[in-house]
Amino acid sequence: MKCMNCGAELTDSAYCPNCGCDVSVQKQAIVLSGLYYNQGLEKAQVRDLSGATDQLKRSLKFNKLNIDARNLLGLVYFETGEVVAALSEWVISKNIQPENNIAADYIRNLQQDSNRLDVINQTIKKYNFALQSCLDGNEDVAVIQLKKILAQNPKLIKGYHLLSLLYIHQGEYEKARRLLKKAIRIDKTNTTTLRFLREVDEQTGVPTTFESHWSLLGSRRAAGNADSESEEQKKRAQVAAYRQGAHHLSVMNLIVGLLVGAAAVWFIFIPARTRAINQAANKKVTEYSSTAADYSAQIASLTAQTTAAQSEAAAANSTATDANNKVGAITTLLAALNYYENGDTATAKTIIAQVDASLLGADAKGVYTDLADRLSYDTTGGTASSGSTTADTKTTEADTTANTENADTTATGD
Amino acid sequence: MINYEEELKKFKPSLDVDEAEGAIYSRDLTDVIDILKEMLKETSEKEKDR
Repeated sequence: MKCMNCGAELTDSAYCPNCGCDVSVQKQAIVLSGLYYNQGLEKAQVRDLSGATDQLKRSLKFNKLNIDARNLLGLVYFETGEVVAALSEWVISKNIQPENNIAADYIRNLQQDSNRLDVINQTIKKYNFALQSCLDGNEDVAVIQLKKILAQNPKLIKGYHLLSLLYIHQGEYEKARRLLKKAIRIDKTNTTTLRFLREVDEQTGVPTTFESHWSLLGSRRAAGNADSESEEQKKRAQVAAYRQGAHHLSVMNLIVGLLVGAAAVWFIFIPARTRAINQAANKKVTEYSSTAADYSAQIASLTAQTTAAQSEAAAANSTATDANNKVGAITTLLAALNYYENGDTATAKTIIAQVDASLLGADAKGVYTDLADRLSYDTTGGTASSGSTTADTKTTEADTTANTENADTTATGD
Repeated sequence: MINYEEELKKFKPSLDVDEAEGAIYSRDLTDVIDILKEMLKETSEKEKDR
């Protein structure tokens, strides 16, 4: 600490060792600055950014050279979307203390991310345009612009405030409530946010609830009276008891869950599976039955074909037999005719008796009848009749012819 | 009941990055110690005049 008059280094004394100036007030101002800084830091740690801003500004009012307070104020501004204000504080801080100052790092980080800086700059310009639109009465344009701004810079508290105000003015209280809840998460005690929320609660008749167990008003923590403490103790005891019971309850729930699962498997899954298996089996049976029917039809067809073929074969055999018999009869007749022509009428007669005339054709039958007449063979079973005279004549002629031939042969031989 | 017009008047335009330099130069950084200095200076000048 330096003397405000001459700049000499101060001691514990209330007077400057160099110029003798009364520095007690200066020392008190510096102590107060530190005190306000500490309070600002506490508020910033619990996200009471509006409160932190007030305290830090007071701290700097007492001592503008309080670098810690200035840097923290810049951070708080940055967290509420006020980037230019944050940059201002950090630049001033860096000018007061160029060396060993974290503000230099903050500025460097911001300058290195030029894209982000550009986006922030654009959102600020759009916010100003939206505000002007509101003043000109173009609320719809302002709403659209503000939605875009909050999408790009979701920490801009006054963007939430302005859009909430527009929604409240248009009667869209639930939309305003949603926005204000987001704003509350950034800065818990912002008066504008709280006032707008109260308006929404009054207009809708529904109080706004918050997810976090950190109470917005902090009444329980700020109160600290015996009743609330005893209530807290009772609730803690109830919570502890609930937790013990919850352990048994969870085991019971597990067992019940397992039983329900087993029942579901038994009554739902297994019948369905069985039904599927039966359906598959029935389908197979149907397929096999169809195939068997096809085979049966084929077998019947083949059997019929076989029967027909057998019939044809039998007929063919019969025809062959008949033909063989006919051939046999004809052969026998020829044999008889041969014996007759050779003069062996007795043998010829014997043989002709073996001929079945019914098997002979018309021509063969004529020969047979003729031969039978010659041989005086009764084809009906009796001796030869007038018909046989002709046969005898023919036989005599045949003998004469045969003798003549024999004589010729003998004469030739001589 | 919130008055829309009155609430709207409370909203001020934000400074963009291009205007940051001017804002810094125009900042009033007077603190209590500066006031004390001024008071000391005036007191010493009055004593000199006497």
